[in-house]
Amino acid sequence: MGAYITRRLLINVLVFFLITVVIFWLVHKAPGDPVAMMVPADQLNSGSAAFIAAKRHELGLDQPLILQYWHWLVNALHGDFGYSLTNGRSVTSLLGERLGPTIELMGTGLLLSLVIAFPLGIVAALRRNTRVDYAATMVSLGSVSIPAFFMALIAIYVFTVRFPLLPSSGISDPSAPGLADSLRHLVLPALILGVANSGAYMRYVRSSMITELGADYVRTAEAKGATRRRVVVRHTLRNSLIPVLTYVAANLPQQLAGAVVIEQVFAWPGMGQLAISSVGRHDYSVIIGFALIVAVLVLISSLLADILYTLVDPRVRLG
Amino acid sequence: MARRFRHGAFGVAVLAAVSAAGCTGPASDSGTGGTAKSAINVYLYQEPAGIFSPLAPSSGPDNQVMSTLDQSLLTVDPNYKLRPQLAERYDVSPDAKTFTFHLRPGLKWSDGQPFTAQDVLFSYRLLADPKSTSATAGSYAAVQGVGDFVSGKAKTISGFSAPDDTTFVIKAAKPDIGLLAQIGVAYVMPKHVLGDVPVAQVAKNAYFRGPTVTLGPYKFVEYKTNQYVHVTANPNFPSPAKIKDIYLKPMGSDVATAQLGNGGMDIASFSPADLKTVQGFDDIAVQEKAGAGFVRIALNQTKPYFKDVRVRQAFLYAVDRKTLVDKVLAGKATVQNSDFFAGNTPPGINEYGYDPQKAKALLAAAGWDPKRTVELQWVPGQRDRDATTTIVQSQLAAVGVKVKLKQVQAAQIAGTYDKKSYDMTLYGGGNYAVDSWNVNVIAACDQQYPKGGNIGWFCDKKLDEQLTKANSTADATRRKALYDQAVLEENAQADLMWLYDPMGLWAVNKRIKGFQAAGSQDSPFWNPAGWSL
Repeated sequence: MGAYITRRLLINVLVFFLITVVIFWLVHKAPGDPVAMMVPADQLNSGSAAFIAAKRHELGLDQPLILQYWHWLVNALHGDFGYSLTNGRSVTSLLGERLGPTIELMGTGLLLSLVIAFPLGIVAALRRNTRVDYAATMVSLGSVSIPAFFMALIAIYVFTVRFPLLPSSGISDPSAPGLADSLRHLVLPALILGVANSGAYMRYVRSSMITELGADYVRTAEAKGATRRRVVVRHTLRNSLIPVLTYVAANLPQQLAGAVVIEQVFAWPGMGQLAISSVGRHDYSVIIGFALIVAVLVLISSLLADILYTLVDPRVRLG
Repeated sequence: MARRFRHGAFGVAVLAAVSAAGCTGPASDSGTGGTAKSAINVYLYQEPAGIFSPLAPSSGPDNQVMSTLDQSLLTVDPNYKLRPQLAERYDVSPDAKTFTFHLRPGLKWSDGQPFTAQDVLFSYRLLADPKSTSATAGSYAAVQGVGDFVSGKAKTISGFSAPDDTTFVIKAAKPDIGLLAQIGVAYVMPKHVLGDVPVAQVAKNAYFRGPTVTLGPYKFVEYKTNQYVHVTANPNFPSPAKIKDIYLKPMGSDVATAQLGNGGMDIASFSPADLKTVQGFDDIAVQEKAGAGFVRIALNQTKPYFKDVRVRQAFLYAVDRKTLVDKVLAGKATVQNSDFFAGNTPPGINEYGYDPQKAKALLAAAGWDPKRTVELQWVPGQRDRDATTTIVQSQLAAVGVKVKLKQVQAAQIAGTYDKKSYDMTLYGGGNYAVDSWNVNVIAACDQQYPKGGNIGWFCDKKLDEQLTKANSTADATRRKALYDQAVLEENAQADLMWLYDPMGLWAVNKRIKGFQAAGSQDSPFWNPAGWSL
């Protein structure tokens, strides 16, 4: 297992390097000029062309792309991922301060989605083709079908306008910070993220449970006199976790994508909100930094899924 | 500590969320900041770049923050009139070449240091020097000696001087009354903070990310990226602000509107589409103000088919702009018929009322090829502009002009100007109300892109002469008469396809007194020191 992980990590390093090349190239080749857009049409004047040229030179954007990449790579190897074209702040610091809020939102959202998905999925599987199953399926379909941003706007309307119980945006109240305040701000975005992702998880739990409930070992256990409760809790649930956990781990990048939308609606100061505003401004360094974090997340979640697979199912051997 | 708590909250969030919600009070605390009695929340329509610098390219939300922190020699009031700010008064020489500003005595920076004309001199030298990467350096080209300074022939700019601590003088290279509006409103920077920083490094100085030394009614406290900019009253301001703290918050317009309803937001601009919703909030008063710029479609006149004035006039007759304003903008705009601010135009200009038959006749006379398809590009995302493009497309189709719509990103636009490749581009903004000379930058032959903002490559020598003559005239009455002639000429030439001048719509909590609406969502705030609860 150790050798396998080491080999995978080495491969991931190579893949990561190739990803940096592709991302750098794609970001810089995207149509548009981040410096020219700093001066909108209604602000153009006789000095605009000179300003744009000077700024491009200052930012190194007038150099050949391969040279720009080389400089970026050398700096990145020293932990310097460049500076925002918009405000001159270091990418490391910008992303660093956003990482915590994003993990907080993603983590709570994931926890909530699992808390919703597991009971519903299990009950739906045990009461297959009954009204309970249909009801759970409807909930699941609703969660998958209704866009998260729409749910968010409805939630804002209900909980902040009609019944003003919760804040509609931000991560804290600057005039009254504290644990309770932080939790109040977390409730709506985390709940929406959790509900939005729970549908797919619930379907996985249900189908996995149904598969396991039909397996030979279940009949054997029941024939030996084990109660239904014991069979479900001790045997099928554990085995049905395998594909679910794999899916959850592999789905982490999608969790992040969901968080991006939610962050935008709730003005949650996470990486997603930063990424969206940076894309709008063609802020190359920040976009690359964000894309690389997503790439790392994909590589790690893939490796994590494989490792979890072996931990949950001893029959699986990595090598 | 709060941050540690917040991230520690992750694990217990699910259990705590329900109880936290249950323990929460009603609307009085929306939990969105600035809920203390002496604090208010103000909406920013976009996230600030976070560089609160007069050297940086103009950015609406950053400018709004800076309008609470900074001061300039002159300022623009809500009626688009220039008013002295740091200057107690100013004189214009009869030849319209020399502007003398008499500064208010006894002013202090927020750190207690005295403000003098040396601060102004330092700031103007920086602003005019391209080596500082000043985005507005081009506006200073008309100042005497700037050309020699930029080319290295002179070590200093002869057109700027500070004969004593309370006097600052600007000399223009030639008569140029419009220079006042262009550079008189630049924010002044503290020489005692930035004076020792090399010119090429100043713009990158950390001071501009946290300008704690200010001259305005407020001083900077912090910018929590994407959350809020916190400013607090500057005790050294001559008439200290009545509201102690302001939190300026970027967020989506839907969320801002929701927060207006629950008391979480005190001042916010909003779109006409939300007018009825906002009017339904009991605690909110609505203010509106005519804008200083306008939304238009530039027609690329390097293309032979747009050179003919009859085509440009036909396009104006073909679109029912009055109905467009009524339906798309709920009447909260005025139809624009010139580059000049509507309040500055004389009677008798052609209003180009909706007349498809006349449009067809003009197109036929100009030999318009009905098989030709032209592209209309715009940056999507603003409801009024998105709707306008489809209306323009269908109404031009009705007179035999095929239009293909093309959405582009903001970053792509400049490339189409560089290549002169676009046919029609819809955009908005500008400020043509403070001084009519500002029209020069979008209409004059010598301002054709990339030398200026004339992105339609329109050229009319007669108009240029009229504009220059008016701008050289110090006497206000005579100047107005000369500009009136220029308006008539420009109106007849239809250099742009003018659409409408949208009003600035502002929602203000009734507990706030003294707020005066600006003409657009991106305008600086007027006199925040005068706001009270």
